[in-house]
Amino acid sequence: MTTPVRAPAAKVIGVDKRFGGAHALRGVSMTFEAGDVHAIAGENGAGKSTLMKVLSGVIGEYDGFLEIDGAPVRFASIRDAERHGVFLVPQELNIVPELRVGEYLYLNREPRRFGLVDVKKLWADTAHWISVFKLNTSPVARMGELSTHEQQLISIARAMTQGVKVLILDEPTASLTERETELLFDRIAELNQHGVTTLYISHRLHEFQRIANVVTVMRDGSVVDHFRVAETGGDTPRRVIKAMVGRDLSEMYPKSSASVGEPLLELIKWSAAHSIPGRPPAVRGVDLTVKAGEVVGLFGLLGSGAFTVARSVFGAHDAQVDGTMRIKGKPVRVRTPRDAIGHGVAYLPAERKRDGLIVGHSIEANMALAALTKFSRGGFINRRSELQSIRRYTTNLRVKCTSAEQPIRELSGGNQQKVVAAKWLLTEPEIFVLEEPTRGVDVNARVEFYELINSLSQSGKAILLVSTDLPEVLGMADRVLVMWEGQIVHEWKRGEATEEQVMLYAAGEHGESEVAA
Amino acid sequence: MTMSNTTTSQTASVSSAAASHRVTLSAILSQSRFRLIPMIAVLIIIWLVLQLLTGGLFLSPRNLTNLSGQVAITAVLAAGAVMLMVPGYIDLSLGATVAASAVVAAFASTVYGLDFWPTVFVTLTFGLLLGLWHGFWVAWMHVPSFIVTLASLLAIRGLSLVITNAETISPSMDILVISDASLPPVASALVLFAMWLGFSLLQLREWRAQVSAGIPASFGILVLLPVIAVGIVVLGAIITTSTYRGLPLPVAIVLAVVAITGGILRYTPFGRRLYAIGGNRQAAMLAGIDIRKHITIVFAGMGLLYGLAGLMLVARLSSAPPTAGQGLELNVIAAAVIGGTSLMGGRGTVAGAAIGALLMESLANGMSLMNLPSSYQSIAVGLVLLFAVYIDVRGRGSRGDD
Repeated sequence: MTTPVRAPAAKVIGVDKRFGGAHALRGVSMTFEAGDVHAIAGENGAGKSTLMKVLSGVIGEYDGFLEIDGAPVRFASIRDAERHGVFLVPQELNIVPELRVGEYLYLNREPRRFGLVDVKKLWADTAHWISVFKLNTSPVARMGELSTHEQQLISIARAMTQGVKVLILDEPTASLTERETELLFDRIAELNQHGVTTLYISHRLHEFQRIANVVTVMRDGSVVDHFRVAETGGDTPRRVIKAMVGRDLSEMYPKSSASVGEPLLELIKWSAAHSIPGRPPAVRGVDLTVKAGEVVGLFGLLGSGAFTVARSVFGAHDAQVDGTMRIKGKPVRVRTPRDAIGHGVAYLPAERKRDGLIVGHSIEANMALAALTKFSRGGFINRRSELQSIRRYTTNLRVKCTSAEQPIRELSGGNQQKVVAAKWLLTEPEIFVLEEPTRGVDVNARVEFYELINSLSQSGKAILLVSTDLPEVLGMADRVLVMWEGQIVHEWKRGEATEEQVMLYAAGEHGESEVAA
Repeated sequence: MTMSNTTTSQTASVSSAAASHRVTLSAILSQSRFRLIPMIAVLIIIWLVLQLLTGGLFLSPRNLTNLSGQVAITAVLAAGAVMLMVPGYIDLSLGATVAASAVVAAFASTVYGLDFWPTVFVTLTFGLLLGLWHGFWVAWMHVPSFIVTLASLLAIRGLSLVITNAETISPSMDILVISDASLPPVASALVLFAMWLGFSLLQLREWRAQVSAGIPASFGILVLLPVIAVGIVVLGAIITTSTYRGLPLPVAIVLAVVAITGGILRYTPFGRRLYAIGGNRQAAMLAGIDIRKHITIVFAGMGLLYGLAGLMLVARLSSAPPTAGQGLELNVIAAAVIGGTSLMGGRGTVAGAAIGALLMESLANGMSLMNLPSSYQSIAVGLVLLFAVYIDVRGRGSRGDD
């Protein structure tokens, strides 16, 4: 096969950026060739997000140069970058839930007729793009009614309508199901054929083999590896991980088994209504037991009810919950998170910034929040015991920070998650409900989290691990439960399940297809 | 393998910690606990300018005593407003509710002929009930505080006019003690000194707690500097009060209210939770905080301050005009915001709000000494508010990205 002469669509030359004391980018140079899907890997804090922000005009102050189609450019704003055909689709989409799909797609560029919005053309053009992206929605649907996956594709379509040359996708699959991920990959492949260059940032390394032509690995603000996927002979994830951390893949899930004791958490005929009235119940008659020292993995695709189980156990589900809950064998009523905490339950939410952290406040304010009564004597906070405890956890969990007074928003995802974990460890709970504990967490910190789970189970805590990261569930759980449409449809002991089997059950295709297999 | 990784990550965190010691002055100033320094600097400049422009009249003990009477009501209410604004609420009812409390005090002492303490009790209870009324609608009925207190601003003002037949009534003479009395010079000096001592001990305690937790805390920044600065202010206050009439009672009330509310916000779990509620309500709820209870208490506390401010108002004016205190709520919110309190919640200090109140009232007082009409005072205060918030936003905006 002869490789066509590739023209660089975009070039980054010696870009250097500092945030206060942190050197985020150390003279990075990179070439993005036209029509490639260029994956960029690296731990949180490796500099990849910063680089993408420079490239998409979010950060305007830096040293170094950018070139688009061979011409030097310097973007002062996002609009500037978009005018040159560079579009960023961020992890947390900037959609306007109240707008209709068509209005969002052409926001600020509505087709006009006699000075008014040409509604007919607006809906027609939108319908065209919806069909191009094979979406099952209407131009007049509200953006807020769409699934994350659909919102994402509409965001990409929005870039397409404005003549995108370089499309930057930041963790596009973080909140997608496997099936939606496949659909997204198909669309990305089509974009390629139209000559669009895609820059793809992800923590899910196994996706690179499937989607990328080129991989660049960053570490500590520099490029540490760069290769075409075709050269690796199918061993992309391993090579990327080696470059990222210098650690072997087999160490990813350092699972150790603990001796299993009495049941700590029992759910009997546990049901929960959907938080949107009129929808079918989110959880239907689930029976579930987590024993002391045990890690129970609850896997389910989005909408399976697995997250609702987690939230309802913590008293945080915002609709009717029925069934019996026992803690250490005793029936308990948990109506609010306060009740749950009183019974020794801790909850690590999947939506860290929305549910777990006060991003504008300091590390210490966040860590101490759930355990303030423990630190107070006679109604006043005992700063000495508070600060000593916080110090102990920042050291033990290796939270990378300049001081405990540093605002949470300045930390990387992994370190933020460590702060959430410390907040709960300070309450000394017996039962941990972990929801997507390693979402958006870099590889090194992930392993540290798994080691934390090990040490918790060894000290006799019960852990309910609710995750949509299948390798994680299989790698860390003593028992794996699969949920589908609000019910637990199958259970395996550790080591018995394969990814394919679990996925079949989770997708609700375990009936005939299993017999056939 | 794992070992070497561990050591490198540890040395990395140590070196980054060491790097953080070389911080610039602007970085220090942008930290929350030093946010007061530029404000105090601005206050001193304004005082010196006013002193020049009024030919030495402004800083005379007589005018300072007069000024303190003006500041007191705003400052007391601003302390309460911070307690409400930190968890993300607001009170627009102050003008009406404080005036109504003043009317109640006047009624109780003259029409019903109550003695001093029963009058105080009745007025505070009236304020407390108003506060609980607000708390009920906000915390239990989920009506936004903006609306609940706006409704009170309209309704309670109307109620005062109905009760008094739109006439101004006067309280009995013994109520006037609240604004006219002063602590004797020796007692004043003792009170001020005790407050300074308490402040110093708390700063010292904080420093020792940080050191015991292995935090490289600087004794100079955490203890020496603030203790000396506050010491100078306290010394000035002692000299001023002893050369004139002693510490005016309204000032003593302000100091007590600021110490109590500031202490609650800074040193109690209750106060910390208020910051959490304002910072991220959802996360606060998921950390087990009973938001409803906290909000009800805060509104009840604000209600007590309506009563207290009402008593101070009726004593200061020697009468209770039902239309008194128009626009008071906006002055109070402005004082809190100038003092660094966020309208979005999660941020703010009582000390800042008190200084904000002092700053605003100093401008007003100084300009009236210069015989400028009150419309010019409005213009000046409006511009100060705008610039104070602009500087605050700028200071925070330049610190990295999200």
